[in-house]
Amino acid sequence: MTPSASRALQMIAGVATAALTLVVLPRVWCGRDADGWYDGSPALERALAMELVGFEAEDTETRAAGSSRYAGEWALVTHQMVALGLAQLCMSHPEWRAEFAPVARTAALRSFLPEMRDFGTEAWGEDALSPEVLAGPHGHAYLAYSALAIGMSLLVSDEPLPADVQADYDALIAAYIRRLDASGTGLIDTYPGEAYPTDVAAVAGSIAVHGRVTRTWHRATLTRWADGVRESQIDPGSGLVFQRLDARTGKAHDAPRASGTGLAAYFAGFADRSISRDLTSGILRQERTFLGFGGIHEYAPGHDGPGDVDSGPVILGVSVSATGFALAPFRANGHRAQFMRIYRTTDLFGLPDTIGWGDPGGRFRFRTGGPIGNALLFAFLTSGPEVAP
Amino acid sequence: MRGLETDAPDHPLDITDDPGDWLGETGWRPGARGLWRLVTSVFFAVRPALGVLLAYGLSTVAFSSVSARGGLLTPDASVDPVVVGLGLLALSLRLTVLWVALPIAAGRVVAAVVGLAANGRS
Repeated sequence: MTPSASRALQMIAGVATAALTLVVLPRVWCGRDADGWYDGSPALERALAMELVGFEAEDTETRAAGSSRYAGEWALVTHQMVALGLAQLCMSHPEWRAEFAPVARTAALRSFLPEMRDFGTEAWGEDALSPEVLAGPHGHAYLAYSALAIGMSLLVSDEPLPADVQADYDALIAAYIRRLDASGTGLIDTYPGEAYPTDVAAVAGSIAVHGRVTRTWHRATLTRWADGVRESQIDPGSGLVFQRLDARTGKAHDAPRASGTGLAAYFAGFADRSISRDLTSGILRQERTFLGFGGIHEYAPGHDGPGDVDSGPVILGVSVSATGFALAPFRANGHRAQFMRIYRTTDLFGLPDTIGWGDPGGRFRFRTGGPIGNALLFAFLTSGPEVAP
Repeated sequence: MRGLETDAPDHPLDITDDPGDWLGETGWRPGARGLWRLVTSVFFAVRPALGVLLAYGLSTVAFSSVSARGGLLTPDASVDPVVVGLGLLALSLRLTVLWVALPIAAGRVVAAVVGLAANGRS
């Protein structure tokens, strides 16, 4: 072979190999745990659970020491998602119930602490759990996140709630039922005049789980909510829910968006599997793919806007939150290929800590996630057993 | 690898030599020489990628040590520039490793092996 022919052959082989590696290696490396998560690998699930059990233990120590406490909206969601994820694990692995149910209960109770709902108390100028507010028409839908966590922890724990918490929980669910029944739009407000279908889905989920705990099914209320979702909250063109609406008139105050729809699909699953499936169909249409990686486009076709606290950063139209939220409905509703693509993206940007996670008692975490990111991913990656029959 | 001694004291091995006559005299095993050339070629092909991999590993360890459980944002959603900077550096290097350094290294390895094979036949 002549030297020039040899050089040409080298170049062709090198470029072809580089191109092939570029296409195959990232998707294989970032997808190495995707099947495990989709199929419910006990090693993976347990390792991430242990990370969050550790977080709750540290939070207990911090509170006992009286030093700075983790509180506010992010803390509420973090404790809520830890409780939901652990309860889901107790359902899929009953042998872990004795170990994880008490931690789920602790996390749920923590999400119900007054300092966790300060942001809502401030917005309304009243505490959602004061007797006069519970008897009134104000929605306070954000507190359904905590109520859902309390309900799920009750489903897997044999230990009763403290009497005052039980009374607050029952009164809150009764108030939600009354408010939903009285709503002409199937919406109740989170903040004065503002309703978020995602939060209302959490309200429906909390009512449904309360029904499972108490064996009082609240069917009429949940059917009315489901009808309202289909009639006025889902944009027929995109299949996404409007991110924010007027609680009284049902008029859209924001575009149909995937971040709200993704989380709503997860919460709706607790109450009504068919609504969760409908919302998942909308999210599926928003998927964008590149070399085996998937991301969820935030805004419905014909709409555009910036990122915000709901969507997280929006990069080339793809929302960080919507992408993460999609893991739950994709897993719970059986969309393996889409789950795999979204998980690869999660792995790529989550910087998973794989060192030592396979050890007994070993932990697994997504380094960039922090407590809230890991708690959210924990609940979404283990979603499935909580879905209503 | 000049100076690598063989069984024949008068014939120091020079990999730039054309393989052939001397092999029989030296007692050097042809497979070992080819293997050595392959190993060195692969090493030089992947050397740039090793530097990027090392930088990625170090930045990830540094990010993990400063962020602890915190992730990119602190629990109260505030931003620590050092944590965010190291996190973004680790993420950038991860993207570089997966989509630039390793594909180029793989291409260089294959090109080197193909070159060795082609030269061996000529």
